[in-house]
Amino acid sequence: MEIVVQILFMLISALIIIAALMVVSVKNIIHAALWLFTSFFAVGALYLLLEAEFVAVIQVLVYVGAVSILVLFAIMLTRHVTGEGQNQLYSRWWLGLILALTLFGAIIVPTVFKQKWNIPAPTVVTEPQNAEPVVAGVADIGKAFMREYLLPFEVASLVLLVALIGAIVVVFEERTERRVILTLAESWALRQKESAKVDQ
Amino acid sequence: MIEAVPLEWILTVAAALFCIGLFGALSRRNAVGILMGIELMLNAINLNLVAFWRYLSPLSSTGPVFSLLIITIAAAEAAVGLAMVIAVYRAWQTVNLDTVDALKG
Amino acid sequence: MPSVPVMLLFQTTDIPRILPEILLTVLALLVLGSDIFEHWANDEEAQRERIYSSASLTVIGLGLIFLITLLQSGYIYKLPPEANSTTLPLNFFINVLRNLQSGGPASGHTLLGAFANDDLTMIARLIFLGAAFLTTLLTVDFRPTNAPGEFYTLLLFSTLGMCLMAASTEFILAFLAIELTSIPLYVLAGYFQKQTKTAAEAGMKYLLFGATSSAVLLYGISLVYGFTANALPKAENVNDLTQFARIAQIAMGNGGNSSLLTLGMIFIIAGIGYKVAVVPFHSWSPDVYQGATAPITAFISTASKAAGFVLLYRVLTEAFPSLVGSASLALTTNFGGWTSLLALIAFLTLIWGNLAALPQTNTKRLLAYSSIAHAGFLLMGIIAWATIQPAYRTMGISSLLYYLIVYVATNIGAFGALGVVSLAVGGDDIEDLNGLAQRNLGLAVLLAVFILSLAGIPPLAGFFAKFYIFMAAWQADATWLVIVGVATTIISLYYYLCLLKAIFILQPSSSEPVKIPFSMGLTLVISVILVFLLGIYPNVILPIVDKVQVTAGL
Repeated sequence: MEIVVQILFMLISALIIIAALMVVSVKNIIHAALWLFTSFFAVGALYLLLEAEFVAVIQVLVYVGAVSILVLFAIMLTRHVTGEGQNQLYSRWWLGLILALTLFGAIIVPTVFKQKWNIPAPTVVTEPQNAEPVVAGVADIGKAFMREYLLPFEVASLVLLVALIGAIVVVFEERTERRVILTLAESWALRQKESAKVDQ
Repeated sequence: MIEAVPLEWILTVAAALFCIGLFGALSRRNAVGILMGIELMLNAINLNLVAFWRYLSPLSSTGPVFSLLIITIAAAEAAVGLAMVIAVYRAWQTVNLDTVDALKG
Repeated sequence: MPSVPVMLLFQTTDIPRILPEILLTVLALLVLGSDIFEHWANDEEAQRERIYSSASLTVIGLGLIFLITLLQSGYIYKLPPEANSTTLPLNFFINVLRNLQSGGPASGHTLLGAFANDDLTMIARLIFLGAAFLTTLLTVDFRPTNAPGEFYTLLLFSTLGMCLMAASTEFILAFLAIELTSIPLYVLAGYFQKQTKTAAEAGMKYLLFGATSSAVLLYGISLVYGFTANALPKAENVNDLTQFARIAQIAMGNGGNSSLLTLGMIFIIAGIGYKVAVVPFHSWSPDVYQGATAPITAFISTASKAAGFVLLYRVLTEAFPSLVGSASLALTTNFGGWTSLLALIAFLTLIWGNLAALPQTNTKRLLAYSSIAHAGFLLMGIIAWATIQPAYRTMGISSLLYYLIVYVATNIGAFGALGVVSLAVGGDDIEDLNGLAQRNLGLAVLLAVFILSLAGIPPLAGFFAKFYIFMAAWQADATWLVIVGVATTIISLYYYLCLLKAIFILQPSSSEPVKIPFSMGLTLVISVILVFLLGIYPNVILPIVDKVQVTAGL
């Protein structure tokens, strides 16, 4: 059983890392976005493995469902930038690489090699019916939001409102400047009118 | 069940994901690419939080609460960021940040 | 399920404690909603009317909230504790005031463990509300034509975020407050002006740098969370692992020497360092300051920076007192901990900020570098914590707050005066200031006062603020940093005097007089009064900033 979990973990994390590497390295930005969804999805799977079901569900709903679609929309609205054929990285990309590698080392040493983690021994559940829960569940998260984390919860709602207003303000075009995008019916009617004009 | 996997493995994955995201944010020319790098970094942070919560204090709910709030904020930031990408594209006809560079001293 | 202690639930009596924040939220929503009832049209007159009504609602609301907060703080008048006789006709007002002041500054009590309501929060709130008030007055004539309602709503929400930033004693709330402050500023930095090309660029750069720095900050917080969770018994159901006081307590128990905690702290300093624009993390600020309109630049460079500094102070002193280290260069003391790190950052900031300002030709960019240099001075106030005497620590925070108040008043004035010039002339290069004294002597004198105060010339407030913060750093054994500070102050005189030369000596390109719009003039007058008052008679503010209690550290 242990080895199965370990192999599962290895597979998922390999997928996360490979997908993330593809996100930062492929030339076509649409492909990068698709790899990004793969990475999001694999992270969600890892949450499931870590028994954080609610976070996993929200990860899939928000990241895979909303953010990804938003990214694709942004790419499609900014045409000509899919970047086939041109270099997608700065010419000084190796500087970023050195910085990232140094940082990786700086993070790994204290967290993995130096720190001693006090992992509790796994509790053996003998009576599943009336055993104490080992992990905080959705109900606990909900209660925490209404008790200790009431203020962050309210502030988060304000941040969402601000983001909504901000996004609208940024992409809003004045009525006079707005481009006219015809509906199918309108363009068909226009074409009819033009062909009628040609006939005359 | 997950105890079969040491905490260190997950932390390594999260650190790697964070650094890959940082590399993307630092060296991509395309603004959308940079935003994607930032999303990867935020995912790494959530992974860290959930792992710490699951292994070290599974009965408290700080970890999931924090990661849920980060997901919320990340979505909000992504919405504003991508809106700005569209606005930059309208003004400059490109979203490559080495072209979008009129402000310098 | 163990029952939750009463302190962790929100009580009705807690409402006065967050009254300014609640009022700000209500005002922001009111401004947003009232814009719907305006006459929307594309002609100049209708647009101006729409802006005026939104702006006046914002100004009046902010003024009221400022007054209520001032009354609540009890800094000008504090009601005696005993009950008054019930026959007085004024009884109603006295009761209202008493209820208000029940939410006044009280150290030691935090709301839900996340929101401190002490003197530091109170003073910071007053700074942010004042800055937002002055900024709103400045914006009216810049005409945020696209959407005035949204413009002022975003400004108010950003102010709300700053108040929360200054008050938060817990990492989750602190992070959300930072985002609530920043996201509106990303939008405000660009999208309300005509030259959309540079505006879009400024907004985009600000957002990308800000989002990256948030991610760095969050990674640090997650490491600190791992540290605290690791130190606790597993079976415990506690939800206070991200509170500053709790982290400090656990770190003390561990001897405070964990490389994990240190790494998390470095990430957190880097993340907040971006927000306050200190040197290795400053590269966004000149571009954003130059690209944004003058009032928004004033707001970003003053209020947002002040909020960052108050948060930095709170995080470092309340969550990491065990890692304090020493700022002295002497080898006998232990060089390490956050004061050493901040001293290094302050050194780089002072040198680079002042040197990079020398060749600038754009006034806003020049003031951006000058404001980076001022961040170096401000860091000294936090470094003063390195001393062990509580009196000197109190001096550190009170000098920091005094410097912040002076800096906010001066910089808003300076950017406001530059805004007047750029409205009239249509550019903000140093050449556009040429011969300003011949075109409008009053404006030239006002701008000169602000510039001299930024440079730290004696009768003005800037001098006393610098002097005070140098004294605090001196007491903390950071003598070398004080010497660097004095030296760079002398360097900075060069570029400030260049501005003065352009204003008073050089010949103007046209002799057309520059007009000061009424509301902008009002801001300039308020700022200049503050600059003179705080310089000549600092005792107006000093007893108040001295009230800030220093939490018992090591």
